[in-house]
Amino acid sequence: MNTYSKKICLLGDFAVGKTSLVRRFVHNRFDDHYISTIGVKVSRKTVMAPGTSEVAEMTMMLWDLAGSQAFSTVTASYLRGAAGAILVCDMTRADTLKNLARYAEDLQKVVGAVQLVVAANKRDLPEHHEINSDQVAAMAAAFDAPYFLTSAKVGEEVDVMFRDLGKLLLDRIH
Amino acid sequence: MHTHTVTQQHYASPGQPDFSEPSADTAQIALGAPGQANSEEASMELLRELLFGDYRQQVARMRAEVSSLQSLLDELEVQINNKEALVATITPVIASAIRTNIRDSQSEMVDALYPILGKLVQRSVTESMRELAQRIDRQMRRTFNMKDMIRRMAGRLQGLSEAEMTLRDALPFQIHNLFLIHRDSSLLLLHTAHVAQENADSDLISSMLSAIRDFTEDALGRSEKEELNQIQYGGKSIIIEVAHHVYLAATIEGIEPQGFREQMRQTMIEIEHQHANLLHKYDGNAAPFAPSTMTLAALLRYAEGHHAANH
Repeated sequence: MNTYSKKICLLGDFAVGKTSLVRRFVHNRFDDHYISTIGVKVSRKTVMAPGTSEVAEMTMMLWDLAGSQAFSTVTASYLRGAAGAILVCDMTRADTLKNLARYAEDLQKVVGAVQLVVAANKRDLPEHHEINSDQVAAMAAAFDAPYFLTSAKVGEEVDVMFRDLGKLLLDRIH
Repeated sequence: MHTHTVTQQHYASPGQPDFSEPSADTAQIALGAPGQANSEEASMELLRELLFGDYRQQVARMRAEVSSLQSLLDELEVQINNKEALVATITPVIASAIRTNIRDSQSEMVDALYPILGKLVQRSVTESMRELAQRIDRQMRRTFNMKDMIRRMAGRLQGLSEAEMTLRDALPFQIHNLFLIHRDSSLLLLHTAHVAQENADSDLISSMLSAIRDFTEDALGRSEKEELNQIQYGGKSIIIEVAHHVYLAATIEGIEPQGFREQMRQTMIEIEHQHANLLHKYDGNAAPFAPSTMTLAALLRYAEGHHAANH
């Protein structure tokens, strides 16, 4: 069985839950404070990916980038070499969904068309939702990406999202 | 029955209650009643209480204080006998006193500590110099070979004396890890270590190292000619050599010998040439690079050879 590694970036506004998504299901060695000091922390998530032409082990090196108001050149250099990205928004803040378009555009400028996945986080807070699954689906369709309504807090859809991303990355190799 | 009214003659002293007020402190005592021994005893007791009550209370208080002090003494004795408890008790006090003294009387503290610290530093420096001298002696006794001769001549051309070259070679050096990293994706291609150890996180280390490189270059200004080529931490360093598709990072201890960076470059370029097609569009599968582990291991042996030659 082949083993592949891919660089994946997590993009999204401040406090949408990127770090929480990573923290819950992946192998961490480095402390979260790296995100505030150099703007990034790398973690690892390995999944068995049942691709169309082979089953392989897919190791995703997850670059958790500091969410910021303005897209800086430092963030741009962290995107280099990414094979994909998880675009994360917060279902309780409508503007975080709209901003995903900007992140996707900036990513494309650096690495071209890569595999995207949309994670609409905080599904466990329905009483505070400002966006619904139809709006998330529409945004994801614009990126030609699958979407997942996740909850980093209770763990819903997080593992499934990483598994599906692994499969999509594998299919892109062949 | 005779009834006498006894008025207590009381001389009040400071701190003691004044019993001279007749209405409050005058006792009616029945005396001389035949067959009433108990009653007399009670009366005497009352009298004693009136006369000595305060003193009794004082004695009781003092006894309590003595008892309390005794307990404190017992506890202190236990603490003194228990060295750990004693250290825990006095350490904060001593540490605070030392801190205050160092802050307020630095010169006096230096003078006071010099006889101890001076000797320690002197001993440490002497030992280090002795080790260095022994290494240089061994180096000087090495048998003649052409490679050394050429190297020494090259050194002379650069204006270095043989002694300086020898001193440079005698400095301690150890490679701990070698990481070959894909430059664009920051993914680990190969890793080898001096001693067999847990390498599970070498890919995470590679990525974070790349992030630090990116951060440094962005913060200080990206340039075609300039790259982050060394990170120093105490006596340890990460030495980085960069090629077109890959870069090689070595975590080392000590000071790298002359020619080590050149050796790193050669090793890296050799591997890059071997896998040029794969590296051009790297798909994330590092398996094809595995045979090049031997090439990296040779670089480790280079360092070990240097180490063995000098020790």
